[in-house]
Amino acid sequence: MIEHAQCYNWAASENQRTAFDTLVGAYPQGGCMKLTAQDIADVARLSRLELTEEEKETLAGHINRLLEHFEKLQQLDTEAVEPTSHVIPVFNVFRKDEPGESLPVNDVLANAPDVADDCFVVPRVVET
Amino acid sequence: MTDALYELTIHEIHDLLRSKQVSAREVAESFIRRIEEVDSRVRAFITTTPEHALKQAEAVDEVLSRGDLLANPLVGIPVAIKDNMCTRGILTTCASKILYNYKPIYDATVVERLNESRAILVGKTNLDEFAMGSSTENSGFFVTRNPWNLDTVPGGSSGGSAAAVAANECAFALGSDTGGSIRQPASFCGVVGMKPTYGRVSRYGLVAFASSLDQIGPITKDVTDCAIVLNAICGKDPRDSTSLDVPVPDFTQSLRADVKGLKIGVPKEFFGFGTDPEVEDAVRSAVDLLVELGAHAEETSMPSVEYGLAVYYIIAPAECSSNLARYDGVRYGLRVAPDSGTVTRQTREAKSSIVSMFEKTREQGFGAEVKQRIMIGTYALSAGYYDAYYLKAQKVRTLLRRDFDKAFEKFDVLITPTSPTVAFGIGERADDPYAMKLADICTIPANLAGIPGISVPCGFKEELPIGLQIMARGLDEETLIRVAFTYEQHTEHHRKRPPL
Repeated sequence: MIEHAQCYNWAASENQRTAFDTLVGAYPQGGCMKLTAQDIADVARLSRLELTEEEKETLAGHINRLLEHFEKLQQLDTEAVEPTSHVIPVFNVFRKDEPGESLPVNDVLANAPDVADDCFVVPRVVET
Repeated sequence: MTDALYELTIHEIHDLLRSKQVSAREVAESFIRRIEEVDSRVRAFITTTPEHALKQAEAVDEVLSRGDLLANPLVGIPVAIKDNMCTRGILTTCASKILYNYKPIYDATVVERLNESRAILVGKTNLDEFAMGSSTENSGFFVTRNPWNLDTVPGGSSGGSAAAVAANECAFALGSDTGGSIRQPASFCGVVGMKPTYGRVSRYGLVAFASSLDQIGPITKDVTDCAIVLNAICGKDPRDSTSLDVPVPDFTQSLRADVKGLKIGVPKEFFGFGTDPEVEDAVRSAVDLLVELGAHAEETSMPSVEYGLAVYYIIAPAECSSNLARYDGVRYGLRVAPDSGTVTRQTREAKSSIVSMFEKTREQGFGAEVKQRIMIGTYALSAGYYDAYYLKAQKVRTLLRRDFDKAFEKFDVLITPTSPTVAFGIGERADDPYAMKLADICTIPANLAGIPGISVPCGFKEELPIGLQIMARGLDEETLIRVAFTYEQHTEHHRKRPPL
């Protein structure tokens, strides 16, 4: 079984890798934007992620390859096309402003890592 | 009799309960024993809830002994729920270290509805972390195995749910589907999985991944069970403003073996993604069978489908980067202490303690795939790039919808493979994120268009199941069920169970 699976896997991956490249468009090298190490650091900061150097490198590779694939979309003329943000035409759903029951404070705090006086505790943010 | 209860479908167990040949407790015990017996090998569950299940079952027996609720088809039926749906007081982790200890204080609407139906919760199932992945290998805790071959993946992201149904560890399960996460694992595990129309089922209490794509749906042993579960979970919910206020039909009325005059479209693009020839053969034979039974089939083309993957990998990460901003170590889940030497107020030179806490918590709490998607999404939404990526993707999403609209002017259903291949080996695609993403290439378009899709077993390759995908117009789950049921009535694939 394993032997068979290995043969099959090899074929399937080769086959599929080619399919994927055709599908998402092997874009000419240098033809699209590449994220620099500084860009990755900036995006990580916006994402509130403290990445290790190794992670930054791996992510840069992955993200740049995906961005190349996204370039395929630029082949399509969408000048006159409306964007779809939601598939059902729901824009605003109003309800009556009726007071309902709120969750009990103890329940709300039950999962918090640190609490005091019915509040979530976080590192100090205001200088005294 | 009692020993084999776990092998039965919902409707078969229901008949036994109704005629009082078994008690709900006996049913629950049978599944609990089954989980004990096989789950150390399959590893479908993050949490099992045997005591909870037995308590629920005893309550059900009491109700049944009074003659109440006998007509409700889910009374006393053991269910497994994907671990990204909130269950009050029961661990809900999303298979992420960042939620390793999270016990929700409320039930998701679907859980509430199953509780009202008096289904019995046997456990919470494994998934790719926050439902991001195609193999359940991205779980922050452990890998689930495909019951058909323990060296292969069960698919994903609802891999735990699909494996649990296939391994007879529950009578049915709930999954969630953002780009194929119900249908693709159902295909890999040889069971039935449906993603209903976007808005059919309330998402309240489903931990959000990509809100414009996420939808909850059933994973079952046959199409009849699929209809039964849909009846229980569909419908408007005031707590999810995107849930649709439209009548919910009785889906069991569509369990009719009749496809005379049905128009089937077979879009050729779905066979072009490195599809395994045996998968293609099985799918085309299924179409031939439906034609023999009176349907008309015609090949068609949907050119925009080839852009689906790129559109998905912009829109889903963009929405995920926003939805996952809430994991900051303040209100629930993991918190990692800030670096020493941080300051109270952030400056250009010095990081503040609170920002350090956010960053360290998220760094240690999230796995690699989740971080990658947050980064892509943040980038795609950032100033200067929004138009080139996110807006462009939304516009191409419109083109894709138009292709579906056009196809459904002519056809009642579209039939394709659910995934280009059968289940692949564990670890095989882990280093190749692109090959991994290809597993969802046939299922993503339905999420982008918001339409319903179902996967049903349609054959085997080397003892691994092949899935047939049927898609229909928005809100036309009835036709999906009718076509899938007709196919099932004339085949035996769904009766095969893995040799565990």
